Amino acid sequence: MAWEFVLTTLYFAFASLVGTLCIKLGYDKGSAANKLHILLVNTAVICCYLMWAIVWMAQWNPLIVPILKAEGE
Amino acid sequence: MAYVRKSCETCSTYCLSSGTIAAGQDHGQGGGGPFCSIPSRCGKEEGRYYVLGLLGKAGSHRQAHRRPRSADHRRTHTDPSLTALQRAPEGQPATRLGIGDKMVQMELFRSEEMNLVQLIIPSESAHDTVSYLAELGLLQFKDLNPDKSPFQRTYANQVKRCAEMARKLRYFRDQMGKASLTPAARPALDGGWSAQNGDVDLDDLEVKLSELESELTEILANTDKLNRAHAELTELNLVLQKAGAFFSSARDNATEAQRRELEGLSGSSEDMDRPLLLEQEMQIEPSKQVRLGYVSGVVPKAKALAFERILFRATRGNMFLKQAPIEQPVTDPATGEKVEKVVFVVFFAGERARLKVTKICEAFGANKYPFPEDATRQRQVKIQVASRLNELHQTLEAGNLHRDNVLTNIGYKLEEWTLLVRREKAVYHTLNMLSIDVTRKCLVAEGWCPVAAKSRIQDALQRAAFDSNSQVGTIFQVLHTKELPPTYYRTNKFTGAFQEIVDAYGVGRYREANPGVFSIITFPFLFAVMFGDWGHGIILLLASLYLVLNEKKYMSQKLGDIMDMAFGGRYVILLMSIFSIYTGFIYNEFFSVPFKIFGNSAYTCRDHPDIPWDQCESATTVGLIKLGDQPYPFGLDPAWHGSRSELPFTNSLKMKMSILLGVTQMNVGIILSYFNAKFFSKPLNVWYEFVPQILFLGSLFGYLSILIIVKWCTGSQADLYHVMIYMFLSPTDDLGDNELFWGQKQLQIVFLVIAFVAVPWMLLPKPLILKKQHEQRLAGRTYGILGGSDTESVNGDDEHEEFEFGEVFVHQMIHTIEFVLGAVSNTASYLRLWALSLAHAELSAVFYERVLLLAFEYDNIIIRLIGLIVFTIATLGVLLVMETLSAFLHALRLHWVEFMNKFYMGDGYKFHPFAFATLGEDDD
Repeated sequence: MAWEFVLTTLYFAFASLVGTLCIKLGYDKGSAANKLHILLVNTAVICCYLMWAIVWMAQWNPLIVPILKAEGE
Repeated sequence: MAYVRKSCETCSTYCLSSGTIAAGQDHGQGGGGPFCSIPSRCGKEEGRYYVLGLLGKAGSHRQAHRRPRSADHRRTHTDPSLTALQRAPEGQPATRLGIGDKMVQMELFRSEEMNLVQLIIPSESAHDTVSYLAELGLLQFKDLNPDKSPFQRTYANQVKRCAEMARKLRYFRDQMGKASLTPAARPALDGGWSAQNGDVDLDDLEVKLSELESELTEILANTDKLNRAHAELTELNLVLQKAGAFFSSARDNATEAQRRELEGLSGSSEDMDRPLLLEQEMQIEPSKQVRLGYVSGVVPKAKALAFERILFRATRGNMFLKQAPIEQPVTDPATGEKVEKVVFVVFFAGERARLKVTKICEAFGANKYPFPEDATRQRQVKIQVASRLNELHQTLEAGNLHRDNVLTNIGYKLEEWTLLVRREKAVYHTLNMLSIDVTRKCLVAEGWCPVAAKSRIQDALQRAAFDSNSQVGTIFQVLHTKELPPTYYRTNKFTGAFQEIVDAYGVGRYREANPGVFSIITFPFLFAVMFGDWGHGIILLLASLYLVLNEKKYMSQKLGDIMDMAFGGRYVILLMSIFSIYTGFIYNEFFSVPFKIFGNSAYTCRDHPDIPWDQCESATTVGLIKLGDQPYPFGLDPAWHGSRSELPFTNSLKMKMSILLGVTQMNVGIILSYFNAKFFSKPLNVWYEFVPQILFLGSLFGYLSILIIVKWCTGSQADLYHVMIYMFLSPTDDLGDNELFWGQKQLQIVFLVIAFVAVPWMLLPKPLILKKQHEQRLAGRTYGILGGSDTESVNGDDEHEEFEFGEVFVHQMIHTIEFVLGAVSNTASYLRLWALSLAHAELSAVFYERVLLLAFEYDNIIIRLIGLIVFTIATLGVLLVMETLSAFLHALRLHWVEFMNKFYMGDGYKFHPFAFATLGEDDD
């Protein structure tokens, strides 16, 4: 199974968690501002994760394979 | 204090008699000032009555109250009853709009809550109050006299005075520019308004400015006169020199000729050598020669030829013009400009000719100067002119020194004065927007302010009242209105740039969900999807970091248009570059070169895994083969780069990625419309817009997204186009090879039915229910409560809105059609992500392979250098400037159209508080 996919997904989840905690603990600017910052961090992580996951899945079971160019082509 | 109690009673009795609940306990604060408090529940009219009544009495009590008021001033700041009073009206709009205060609202997600407030300002403290508020910059004044022309307004005179002072200051600045002096740097504003106002009074300043202006104009007029005299004398001097030369040479010639004539006459025989009759006639008799007139002067070189011609014509040739160009351009006495000129002497005969010549001289702007014939007088004049010139020169120098002194002295204060005058003018301009009471004892202001800033505004009002020694404080009360408040986001330098992107499309409606919150991340992200190259990303990052780190330096400077734009968007560019570095790693491109950062390629030679690719024969025919189950762990496999199947693979990948990202973003937009409907408590929008919309999009493009993912995960060869097309054309047919999972056919039929049901669901119920509700309301109105909210509504808001079924229905129809068609076209529109990222990748590959690599094939340093330069210029110019711009624009469009049209109204108006900080240069 795709253990690598799950692992990296966990990494991203971990990144989101770390970001959220950092804001809660290290960059506390009041409840309203924290909400915004947490949303921003998580949106960023989700965007990055989406892109990674899409590219990973697209290469998982490829229908075509790389065909190298011959010399002088 | 007896008076205080009495006044409070007056109020409460009045309020009570008017039928509103005015509780006596609200007046507890009255101890602080004579009447600092007026219960906000008293409507506008009551408030005014109250103040008027008090103001009438205040005059007689002025002396008695001065001391206690000042003494109590500090106490009022911390008076607990005051804070209690402030809190009371704040809760009201929140509950009215249905926001629970149990949850803290996310910053920036909705615009600030605003209140329409009314200030009743005693006229003696009006100016100070408005300037204190401008310093605070949190109140947007409403124009209460829109029907009055600027000249009819109360403070028109003061505005005019300020404008006049501003004109004088501009005049000083111009004169300083002419004298090439620069005004001293703007003083630091840390002193604040009061400090500034303290040392310069406007009236004093006005007197001072007019004194300075008259002094300066006098100096300048004198200098001007002197300059003219100087220029005239210089020209005279030149005429004396040049014309003197003509005359002396002419005299020499004449004496020569005369001598020769005399010699000839005596020497030759009388008959033979006597001049012919004609010649005799032509000879001018000595008596006439004396009466030959002449005019000398100076004429501009450009006009000299025409001047001569006209003279010739006018005198029918009976003149003689002698010219001598002046080597250096001389100052024209009339204009003060440097002009190339010619000295001329015109000889003519007769008085009439003199008149003509004089007139022509005038017409040509030729300056005439008298030229004495007599040689001794000439010398005298010359000496006189020289001495006068010298004298004038000294006087002029002294005058200029004096002028410079005056201007330098002005220059020390110029910026400060300009600022003061600009502020004063703005204050009077604002005061003109207030409505003045008939008794002229107080001014009434209305305006919008953020609810959160109310305590600060009240604080400023109290300080203003105290500092202006006003007997009575300003009354601050909240009005309730149906009018839509302005939209105000509390942004900082980081979020501000993103908010501007949203505002450029349309300022949000009051308190609607702000797409700017999401755009902060999704905008740079979508940009980066089109701009994925971590080499280019790093360059962009360095550029934006440079701007961000030097922002203090650039903030104070005036930048060019393009630079200003880049500087304003520095944080946008920063995020864009960070995301493009990330997507660059995903696309595995560094100036279009792949790197094996995340391990070796997942592909190996088909024949044997250990054979290197360049020795693998099958690699160029059937291709490499993937080893194991896992693909390349992060991003695109480096094996794809430069392979024959690179384009088919990346195109398919990027196209599908665009669809997936687009469907996700559009769904987020629709979900935001749910939040809006919930916030404004419009259940109709939830059930008859949000639900069918999300079902429609989900059953078509959500399904497509699922198919894409399933196809990737299973490695199926199904043709998704075919599946989607035949889902509509013949949904009951067997899918055959294109079946991706069990039960797909049934699922498709369900989705199709949902999609078809969703369209009338969006279209019909909402207008019909609205109509029914309206009819119910109309029916209810007949027996309705009379005047339930008479104290609530101010400004004559129209309570009964018109309901036009046709209009509502057409609006809903447009909305539905837009959504249904938009679902298809917007999804297709996201394909621009693919197109632009393809273009970017191909362009950078071309520059790298066709320029850099080609040049480095030669073993010649010059060719390599040229190749490198061309590559650098192409990368910077085409990829980093043009491509950045185009990717920026496409990301902008995807946000403005595809994302924001799902939920964003964008028909609000911006909050423009009156603030000194935002007074621009051009407000003079």
